[in-house]
Amino acid sequence: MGLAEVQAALARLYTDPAFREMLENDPEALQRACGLSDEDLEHLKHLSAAELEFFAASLRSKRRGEVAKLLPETVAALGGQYRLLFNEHAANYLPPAKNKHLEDALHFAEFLEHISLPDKPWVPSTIAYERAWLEISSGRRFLIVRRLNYSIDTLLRSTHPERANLVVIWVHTRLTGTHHWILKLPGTRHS
Amino acid sequence: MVNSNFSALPALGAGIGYRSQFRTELFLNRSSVDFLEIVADHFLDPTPEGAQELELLAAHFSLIPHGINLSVGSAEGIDLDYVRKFAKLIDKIQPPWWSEHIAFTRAGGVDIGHLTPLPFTRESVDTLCRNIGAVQQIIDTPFILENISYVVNLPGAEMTEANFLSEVIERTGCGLLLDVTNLHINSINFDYDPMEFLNSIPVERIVQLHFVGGRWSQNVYVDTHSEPTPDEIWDLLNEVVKRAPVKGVLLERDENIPPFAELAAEVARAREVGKLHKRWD
Repeated sequence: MGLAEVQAALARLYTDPAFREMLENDPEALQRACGLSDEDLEHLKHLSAAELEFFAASLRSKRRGEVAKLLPETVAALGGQYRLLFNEHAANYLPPAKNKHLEDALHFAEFLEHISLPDKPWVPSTIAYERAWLEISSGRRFLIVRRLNYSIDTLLRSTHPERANLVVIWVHTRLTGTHHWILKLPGTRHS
Repeated sequence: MVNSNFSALPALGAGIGYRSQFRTELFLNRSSVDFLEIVADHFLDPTPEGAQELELLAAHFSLIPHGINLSVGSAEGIDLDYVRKFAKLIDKIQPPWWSEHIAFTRAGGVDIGHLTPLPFTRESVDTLCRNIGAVQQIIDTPFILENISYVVNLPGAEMTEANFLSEVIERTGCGLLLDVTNLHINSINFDYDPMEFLNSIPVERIVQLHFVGGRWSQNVYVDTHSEPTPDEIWDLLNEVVKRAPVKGVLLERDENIPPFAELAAEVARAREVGKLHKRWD
């Protein structure tokens, strides 16, 4: 047995739906992709698809829970759509070992920026606001400027946030910590 | 191989896995817990607040560092930087032993995000022994290895799980952290007799136990660390403490954490099991 190749194949099978599909429908492609011996492939063919899927789902669920802790307002704004949207993101992105949950949360926020949510037009503002806090508090950025279209107070507390025209500035320095300012621009509209 | 004299280790009694959610109640009820297990990974690169927290815990409790990401079963080898950080932590808190899981968590550039089982093969045993030997070159504090629960049964096994664990324990000189919940869960999901498992392992090498309750999901019993310990696991724990010279028994509750009094009651019950079998006073 080539244990390194088998472990690499298992890691992919646990975390990547494309590899599970490969094992099911084109195992020779999996063999080529992972450099498996004939004997190793034969063993992997006997893996239970149900067990693999169960484990993969539990890994996704664990990731979903960790990201929800980092983006609570975004998750609350998405409501019942969170699970499906996160699973879509997780199918195409695997976070690295270092700062795993933070990376996952930031990539999920980026993924959401490309998703249209016509019934909740304020969600992009929630995401932008919460993503900025994550980036600044993790020391990833020292200066962030965001334009938001909804009042922050109502964005975080209401199911029907009020329209606004804001610029939010975050600054982080080692000496003074994090500060943020909310500037109301002319032309603020209230719904 | 490091030959540790496990019988000379101190009996710690009944403890709990430290979680910051119950820090205040823990300190208000210090006498209800004999020792703490800390997730070592949380303190390897501590923030100033994390370093303070560690000092506070160490000032009031015996601490056992428990690793979750050494990936000691990885065929591609172990992360020596991680081991060196672990060694620094151990040097700081001077525990009587430390622990990790018999598992791999990364391979081929993928961080799986969870403990996953090794195939029960000779090559896996060799890999574990090689990696553990490298760890023992850096950390000479007694090292104990934990059995994991798993939901994927890997084909191609050349031996039983019990024989696999036994061979690793024998060849490396490590002790065993027997997670009785994991043993119970695996015995249910994969239909084997936990007593037969106990008969097949060197029980004299069991140093510490973990216990907690799990949850059923789609006809699979899952190690969720989220429920009170059920009677079947208490029975198994009692049987293990009767047979093995355990030095510590630890409640490992991570989710759905109840009021601290409920946790303390489980710790107290575990302490009584140890007293009953004269593992501590």
